[in-house]
Amino acid sequence: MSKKLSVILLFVAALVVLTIAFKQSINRDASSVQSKPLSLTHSWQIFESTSWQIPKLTPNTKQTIIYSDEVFYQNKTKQSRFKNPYIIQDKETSAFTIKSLQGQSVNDQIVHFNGDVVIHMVEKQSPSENKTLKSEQISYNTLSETLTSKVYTEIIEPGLMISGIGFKANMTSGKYRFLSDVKTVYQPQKTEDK
Amino acid sequence: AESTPNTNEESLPIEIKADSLISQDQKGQSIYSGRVIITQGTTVIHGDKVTIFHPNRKVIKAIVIGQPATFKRFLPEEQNWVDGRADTITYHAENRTVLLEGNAFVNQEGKNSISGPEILYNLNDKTLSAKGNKVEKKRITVIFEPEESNTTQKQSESQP
Repeated sequence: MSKKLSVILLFVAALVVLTIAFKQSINRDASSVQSKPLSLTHSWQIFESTSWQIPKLTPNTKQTIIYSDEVFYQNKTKQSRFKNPYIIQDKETSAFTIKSLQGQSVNDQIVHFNGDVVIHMVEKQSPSENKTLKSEQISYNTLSETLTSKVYTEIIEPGLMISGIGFKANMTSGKYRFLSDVKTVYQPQKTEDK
Repeated sequence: AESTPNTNEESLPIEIKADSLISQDQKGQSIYSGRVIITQGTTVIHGDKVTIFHPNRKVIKAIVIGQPATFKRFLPEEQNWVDGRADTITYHAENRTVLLEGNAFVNQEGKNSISGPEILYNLNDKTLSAKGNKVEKKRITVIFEPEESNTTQKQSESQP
């Protein structure tokens, strides 16, 4: 009888050991997957970085400064991922900043901003024309200086708010376009009262 | 803010809805296209395309094109509505006039209506002036609605 009991005990112990071993292997796989980002292995990374993009031919007219908490860069695909990117585009008569929670750049030219995107546009000669743009996603082409978004975007300036779905802008000419669902609310200035 | 008809409308916010917008701040021009509705207090304007001229961020003129473009507005002093339509309606902020061109028609509720190729409506003194078109031989038509005379009014009151 005691022989039978010991065989059963042995069998149960083996089962327990197997279960524990199986559980640990699952945990190890899960954690290893999390540490290696799914989408992109990077060539190099930098933290708390500030980088300048200065065009060789016209160094004084336009500089794009990019500050970011984290940059993961992939040489082969020329792609980078930013955390809290912050771009400053400083020109003679105007300047603008773009910031968001996340960002990606493609071919060192187009920067996609995602999450709480805020753009401040400053007119140095007439501060009353300063604008703030808000969206959840916007792409900035640093060469052509154009902005595009497919989602809800709004522009706020003193006495005026314009919103719509789908947005395009040329930061050089100042021309911008809302593609659908446009709504504008304009508060006439006091001097216009009768 | 909910506007009562007798507040000064032109100080109220202007709301514009449309399908799309192209704006050029440096030129001071914005073009709204597609089912455009402009609202300010009791004033409502409908059109297919609206071009607003706003140099130095101050609106000086708006051109509304439609099939037709229409407007309506409540006149607090007379407690009635005025409405109108035309192929093109141009609002000049400086002299506060509304120019209706092309199949123009303006109707002052319970008073008179006027139609013709071109009508100018002056917001300052609420006057209408119309112009015919010799070339196209288009003339002006004015329809006055007779006010209920006192006698007819007494008769209608005395009847049981």
